[in-house]
Amino acid sequence: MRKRRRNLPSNQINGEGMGCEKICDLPDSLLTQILLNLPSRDSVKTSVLSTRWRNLWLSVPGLDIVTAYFPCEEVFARFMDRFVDQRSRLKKLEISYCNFDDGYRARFMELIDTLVDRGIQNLVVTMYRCKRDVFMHQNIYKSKTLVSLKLDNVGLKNPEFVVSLPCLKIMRLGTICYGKDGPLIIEKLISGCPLLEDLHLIRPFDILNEQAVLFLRVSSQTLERCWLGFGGDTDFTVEIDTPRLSYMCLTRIPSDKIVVKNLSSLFMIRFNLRFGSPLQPEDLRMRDIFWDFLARISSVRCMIICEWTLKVLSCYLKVGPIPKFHNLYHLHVYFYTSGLQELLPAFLESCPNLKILSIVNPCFIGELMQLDFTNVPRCLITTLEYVEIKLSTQRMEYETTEIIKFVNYFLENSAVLMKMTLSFRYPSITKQEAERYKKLLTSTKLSPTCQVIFE
Amino acid sequence: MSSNMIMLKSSDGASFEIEEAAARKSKIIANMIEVECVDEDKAIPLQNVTGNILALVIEYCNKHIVDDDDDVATEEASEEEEEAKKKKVDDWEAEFMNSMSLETMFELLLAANYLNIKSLIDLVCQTIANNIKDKTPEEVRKIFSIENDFTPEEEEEIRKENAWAFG
Repeated sequence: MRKRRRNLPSNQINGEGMGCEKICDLPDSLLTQILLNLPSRDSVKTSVLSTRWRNLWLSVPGLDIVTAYFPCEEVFARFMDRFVDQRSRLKKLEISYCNFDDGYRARFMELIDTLVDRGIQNLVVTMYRCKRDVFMHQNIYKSKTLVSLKLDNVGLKNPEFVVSLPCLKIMRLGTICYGKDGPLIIEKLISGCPLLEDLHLIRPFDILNEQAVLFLRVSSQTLERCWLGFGGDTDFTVEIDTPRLSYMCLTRIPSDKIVVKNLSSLFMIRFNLRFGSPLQPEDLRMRDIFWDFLARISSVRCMIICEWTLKVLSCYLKVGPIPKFHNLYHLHVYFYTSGLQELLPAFLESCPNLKILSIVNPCFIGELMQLDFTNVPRCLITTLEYVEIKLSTQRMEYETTEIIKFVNYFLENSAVLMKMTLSFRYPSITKQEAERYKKLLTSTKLSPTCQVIFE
Repeated sequence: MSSNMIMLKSSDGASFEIEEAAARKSKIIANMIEVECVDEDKAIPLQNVTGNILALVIEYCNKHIVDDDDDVATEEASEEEEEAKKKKVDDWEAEFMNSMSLETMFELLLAANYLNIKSLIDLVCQTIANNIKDKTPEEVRKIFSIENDFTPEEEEEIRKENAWAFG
């Protein structure tokens, strides 16, 4: 080893001379890299700083632009032509396209086409005032360089060949299709991405014919994080088969429209459900679908839900038991309105090993009388160690006692509780307020070492 | 994890001991280790990096190597913990960059570029860019002491060329 080292010149890793006191002493390659971190508008403005900066912006390998800054379509077109012409290889294009008439759109899509052919890596296109005839060219389906693709309100047509995006890791699609081809296009895209890690489908397609019954299969061996949001009038069933998925976020998913095939790695789930039209928990078919969904996600360790979801869950709870979440150690619940605290104890019964409970904005106005804590949930007796209550809305004077009643319930019934935190934001807590709260705390904590913290 | 220590020597003669795993953040040093031209009792001379800058580079590498190790070791770690950890690193990076002058940043950027430490290059570039963002050219000139060597006519011409950006 030593011998070989001696054969190498000792200064073999020397670079050019250093010593740099001014930004202008940096080489062009680093200055353009700095400019790459800026919106193009700021980058273009540096052309006026000094002769050194005159044309640097033209060498930046990325464009991050909002067309609303341009006074008219012609100016924008001229800018794009100049910039793209200079760039043989643009790596990044982020564009929010709005406020122009139809004239330039077709040419603009051609331009993107060119950039895809030249090997772009990150492409983010958001069109406002959506036109149904703005379509991405088919070469988007066979880019060998794309790593991240985000399209909003840009039409995609059913690919005519097998999709192959060998480098794509991040894909976000929103309203990319009107009509029944939507699921097919998305399935083809997903199946063409052997490295896909992140997938956002936020209202991915709209269906003009409400009678159409659609089915989307999200199947990937590599996917790790997934966001699914459905909205509007479009209802369809989604089937999830993603064995490596660790994080899943579901927004406005009808409770009877989600089918899980494989989610064996699921670690964290965030979901808000709405009822499939109209709520009929006694409808056995709906119940079975939902029960199956819960059973498939029951190994999850961290769950974030809102009160609406709790409402859905409690409706099902009323007609029979739901699967137990044996691995769940952190439950995070958001509240928006009053009237739902009675749901919490019932759901806690389904979380026998819960360790951390976070409650955001519980509303206490006159509701605590209904709090049904007659049976103490098992997790309070055996596992619950941390309770955190976050309050970020204006508090009424009379709520003080209600809040403390809630706190005292946990203090009096949790056998292994280590810490109870009450955090007040907007407005933050005053010293007098904290004193008032402290005086009301129970004197009979079941776990004598439990700390109570106001912050 | 047991790790070999290696020595780095700055242009002004200061020696630094660093874990091999941390030093490998630098692609150029990693390459040297791969071709086995490093031994324990001889320092690697880095003739373009002064001691005070090298100290910053090493601080950065040490901080990030710990985090990378954790990633591998704890498949079990929760997303929440990971999020908290990421926030901790972000906070550390913000504090780290906050503590230095612009001149130091330029030197650090050159050093990171020379040693080929991608994440550090990105961090410094982003921080410098934040000093340009949403500022007028006059403000940027002042912040970076850039001398305007255009005649007023030339400057007017350039502004006209991309008037949309200056609006």
